[in-house]
Amino acid sequence: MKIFSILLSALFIAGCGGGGDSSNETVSTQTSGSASVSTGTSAPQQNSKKLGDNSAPSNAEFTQFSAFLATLSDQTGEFESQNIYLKLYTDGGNTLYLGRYKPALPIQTHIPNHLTRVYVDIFSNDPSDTTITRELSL
Amino acid sequence: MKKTMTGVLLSGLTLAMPCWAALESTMLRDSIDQGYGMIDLFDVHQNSNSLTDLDGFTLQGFREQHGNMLVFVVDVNEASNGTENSESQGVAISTAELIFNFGDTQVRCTHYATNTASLLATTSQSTRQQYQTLIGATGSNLITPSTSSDLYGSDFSAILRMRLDDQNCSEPLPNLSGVTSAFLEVVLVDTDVNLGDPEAFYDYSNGPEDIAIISAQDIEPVETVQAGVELAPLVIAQSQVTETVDAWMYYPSDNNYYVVTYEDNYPNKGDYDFNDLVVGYRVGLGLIFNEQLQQNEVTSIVATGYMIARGAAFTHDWYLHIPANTVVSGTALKNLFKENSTEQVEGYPLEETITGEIDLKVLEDTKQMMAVQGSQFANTLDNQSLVYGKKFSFSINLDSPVLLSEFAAPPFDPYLHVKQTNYEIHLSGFDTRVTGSANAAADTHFKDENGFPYALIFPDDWYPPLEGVDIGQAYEQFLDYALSPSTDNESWYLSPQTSEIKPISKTFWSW
Repeated sequence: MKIFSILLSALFIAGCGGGGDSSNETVSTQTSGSASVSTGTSAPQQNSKKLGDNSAPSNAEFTQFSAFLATLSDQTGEFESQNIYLKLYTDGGNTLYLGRYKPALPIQTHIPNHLTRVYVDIFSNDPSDTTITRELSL
Repeated sequence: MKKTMTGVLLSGLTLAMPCWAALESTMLRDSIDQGYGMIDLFDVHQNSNSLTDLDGFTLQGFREQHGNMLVFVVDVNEASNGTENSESQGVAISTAELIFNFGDTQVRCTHYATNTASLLATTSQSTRQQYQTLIGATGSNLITPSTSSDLYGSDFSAILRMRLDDQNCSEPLPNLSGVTSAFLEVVLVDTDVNLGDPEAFYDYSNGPEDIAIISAQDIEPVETVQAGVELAPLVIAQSQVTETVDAWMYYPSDNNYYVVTYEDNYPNKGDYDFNDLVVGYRVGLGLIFNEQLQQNEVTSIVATGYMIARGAAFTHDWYLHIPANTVVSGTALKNLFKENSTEQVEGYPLEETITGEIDLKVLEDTKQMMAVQGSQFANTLDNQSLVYGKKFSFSINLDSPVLLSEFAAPPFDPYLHVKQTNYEIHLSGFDTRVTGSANAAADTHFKDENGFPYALIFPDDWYPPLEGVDIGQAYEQFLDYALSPSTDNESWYLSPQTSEIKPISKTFWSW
């Protein structure tokens, strides 16, 4: 599949809730496969939105999802437990990744283009460890 | 002569064994329902092979068998929320307590242990805490050493051990042969399902959970199968026998689906209603971390989906191909469920060996599978009542882990083989797959003469256009977005012309 990679944005971090200091964290993201990069010569016929009345340039892709790559710096310096877990999710608790937290490993997800935020919970099985929650703006 | 001697020897052996050696696992009548169970340990289930109720003497036998424990096994029936499905479902324990009555004296024992745990938030406590969990699967068809065991051929799968040591009981527990009544009280965790997984997975909204007291000889087969554990989210192993994945990655999420839609008139131009076949699917990758390579590896794959609509005179087979840059082998278990039912279609579940590539024919003969009497179409006509489509799921256990980086990016390669034309139809950019298809090995980009694809992927809040309605007519921003995407029009699919679409929502089709 042809993919036209576009670096859309560096991630903007807005720390929220759950404690933890966001000032020393780094989160990088990369998105690719954005919908239909159009450089072609065709344009919609005036007054018709039907596909049947129009044509598309050869490099149009029509995808409604984008790859989202999140790499989180180590957030767990003050955690007591060695068993640390991460949940990456969108609005409504829809889970993208759930499992052990490996700071060095980027997490690649695939989310609808119109979503502008995802969320991260980092938590452990030690009750004394405070859950870290972050909001990641795409 | 030899036979006689053997018989004598066996008889002698039997006589020499303690009386509790003959104990069989026994299903109890009471169950855990809506998160609570007060299980009478004397009262056996009407379907039990046991001809009589249990008594204190029998409980003492089980106690001695297990080294001062009573051990139970639970049939979890919770395939309703989160990523729960027939192959993996769970609940979490808040408290479990044994209550023994000896006339006027009562002894309560509160220590319990399971093979798995998870970190969960509850409806009253937003911070996740660790809870013991019970995980199971439907159709695990347990094989026990004795066919007289109530567990033989059953779905009982989750072990619950209750210790009877002095320090775990309100007072030292006497020999149970004198007990007048005995109960197991179980309270499940009221997880906050609004948070999605793991909470949704370990909720108790369905049920009931059946329970049996298990004999020593039946524990090993149950723990060997560990039904559902590998596919469950956020499993923390509590025993040596438990094998878990490190993480699950869900595409597009644990609670969303890709909706793939087709124009099936390839290689000719279609009518652009993109409803000839509409299927929702999602895929989960079970990961383990390879410490040596410092990379994630895939050990298991799960997928779940539904037929949503079918607006075609043609019939098709629908495949899900998960491309990889390396040879992949393993075993797939395919499920196909009747409409709005937990009952499987005849012939399912179906095991399939994966050799080389993951490419499963998931739906066969779609016209027959989703038929509306008197109509060629299903869920694409304006005046037609909505009908449920079939649900499918599959799980794949790979023979050996494969680096995550070897797999293609989602949404993978969901494709169609049109039976009448013998053409296969893929997302634009994928190669053909079906041996002997009319376009096998053809250099096609799966776009028509106007440059439009034959297959599109949408989020699951998209509605299919009505029969014969051009998608550009049903969604007036679609063409603008396709030709000139921007943040202003990227949510085009949330603004349909309501008179031009079939309002079949995810709530309906993902029954």
